[in-house]
Amino acid sequence: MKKTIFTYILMGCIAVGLSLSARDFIGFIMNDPLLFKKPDAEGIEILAKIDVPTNFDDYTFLKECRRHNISAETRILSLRRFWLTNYYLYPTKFYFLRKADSTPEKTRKLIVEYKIDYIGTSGKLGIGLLEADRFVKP
Amino acid sequence: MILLIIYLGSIMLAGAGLSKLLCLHSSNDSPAFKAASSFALGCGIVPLILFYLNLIHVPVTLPTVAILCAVLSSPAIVGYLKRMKKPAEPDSAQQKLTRQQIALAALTALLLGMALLKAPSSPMRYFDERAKWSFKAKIIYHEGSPMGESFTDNRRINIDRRYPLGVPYLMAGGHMWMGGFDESAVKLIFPVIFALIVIGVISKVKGRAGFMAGAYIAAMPFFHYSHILEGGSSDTAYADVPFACYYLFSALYLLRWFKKKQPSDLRGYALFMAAILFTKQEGLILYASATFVSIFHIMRSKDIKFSPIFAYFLLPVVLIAPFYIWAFSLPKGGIDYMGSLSFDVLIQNLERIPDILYWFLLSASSSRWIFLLPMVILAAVLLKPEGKPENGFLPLLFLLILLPMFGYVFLVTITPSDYLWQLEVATNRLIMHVAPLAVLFIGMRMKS
Repeated sequence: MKKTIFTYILMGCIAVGLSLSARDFIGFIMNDPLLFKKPDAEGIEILAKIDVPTNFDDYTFLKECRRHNISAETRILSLRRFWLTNYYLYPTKFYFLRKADSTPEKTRKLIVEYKIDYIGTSGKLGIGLLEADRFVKP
Repeated sequence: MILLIIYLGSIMLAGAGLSKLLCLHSSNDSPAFKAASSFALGCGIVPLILFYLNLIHVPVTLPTVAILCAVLSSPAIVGYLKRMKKPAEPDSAQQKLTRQQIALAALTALLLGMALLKAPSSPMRYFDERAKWSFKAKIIYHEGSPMGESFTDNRRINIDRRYPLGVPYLMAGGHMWMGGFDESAVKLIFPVIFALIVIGVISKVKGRAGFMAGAYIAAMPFFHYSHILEGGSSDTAYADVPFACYYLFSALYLLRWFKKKQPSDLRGYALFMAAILFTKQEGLILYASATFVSIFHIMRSKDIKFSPIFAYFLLPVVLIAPFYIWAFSLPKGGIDYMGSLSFDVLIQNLERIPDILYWFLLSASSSRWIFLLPMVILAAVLLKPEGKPENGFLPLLFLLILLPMFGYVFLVTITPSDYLWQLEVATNRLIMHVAPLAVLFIGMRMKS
């Protein structure tokens, strides 16, 4: 008798676990599976999107930056180096983003958020802040 | 992805070869248990051997991993080929599954399928999996070993250098087989190890109780949750799922040794314990707990002499010693528990204990673990054992669950970091380490 009661309680627990796990799974596939804000989320403006050559090529990357009127070359290059040497990520795209309320007047330095795409993942990763001294909006 | 599956297959074969070589399987073991324990052993021991190779300046590359797996798997392949030559014997022990067992197996498969689907469809999104586990895997993948400047140069990014490297080696091997870096795909390793936990529980408990216990652990929401503060679920690349898996199998071997007193079971226990010590620092707590339980059992039994088996209990320490000797030569990083291990600190922090107990008890009773603690208590109170020989070992299993939790309470009590933050991010992961054993306890009680 006790065993039967226990079995029913355990089956109830399995049902609870199944429903919670399934709810989470459905939420996972219904929402953005990558769990990240998209670059064009509210209040964020895309300043530039730069394609980066697969092989590490400083020259081409800087040329691309210049084409987008991004002149904070040292910073951007060191940022790319940072990701490469410290995280072994190979960025393929940089998104330079700006939140609506971050202006040069307020901070003297334009705080720019960046996201990167990197090889091996379809998602965007590496949200961080880039303090660019001279960042010219294209 | 196919190459990753081949890699996992080679790890399983390596574990099977090692099991065959050391006679870890008995004739009573089901094929499911043999497969799951071999796979788990491969995941735990292949990384440790790769580290030994690094110590003698052999870089870890794809040929190294492939040759190692081929060498380790050769006893299993030879054994299989020999068996193939013999005429097949009808398996009289094979039983037909009931409808209820089939339904529970299907439910378990569905839950495992969910975890398998989620893992490779999202990138690594938690700090620890990116900056700690995966980053170290990248270092091993690119530099062939952790002996370079990434570990030895203190000016480089702090990656908790002294932390055990089992999971990074395992992931690095996956990247090598895939021929490139794919952080999403490599996460597939973790739900597969979660499946090994489930199979381990089902095959050990057996029968209807086994399938119920398997479905119970497979349905535990914490193994599935995506939207949590800190990772640890089976679709994230945290070390906790492998850690829990190795602890389950080491405990299964230890319990079998308590019952049958075969040295081969102690070998299995020692190897899994070495894997535990090479996966997380908390392994020291699990090792201390298992050693305490073993000594307690030996003292209770009159027919066991300690001296012939002493070496087996020392074996995990011998196997992990090269790593810790090397690790202590590296710059410090991460939370320094040893530095705050003093009587004064303990007395000073005693006021933390009510908070810590509250967190642990609340979490273990919550829906995240589908009321695991109340279920363990109910199983202990409601289901009385009927005097079968294995039931005498259930108190020992209970100790293997309880003692690590005391160890973790002690750990959080002396932690030099913000203990409330640590409780918030780590309590569920710490419960995960003993959850498979707790479910095993419930299953064994149901069976009795």
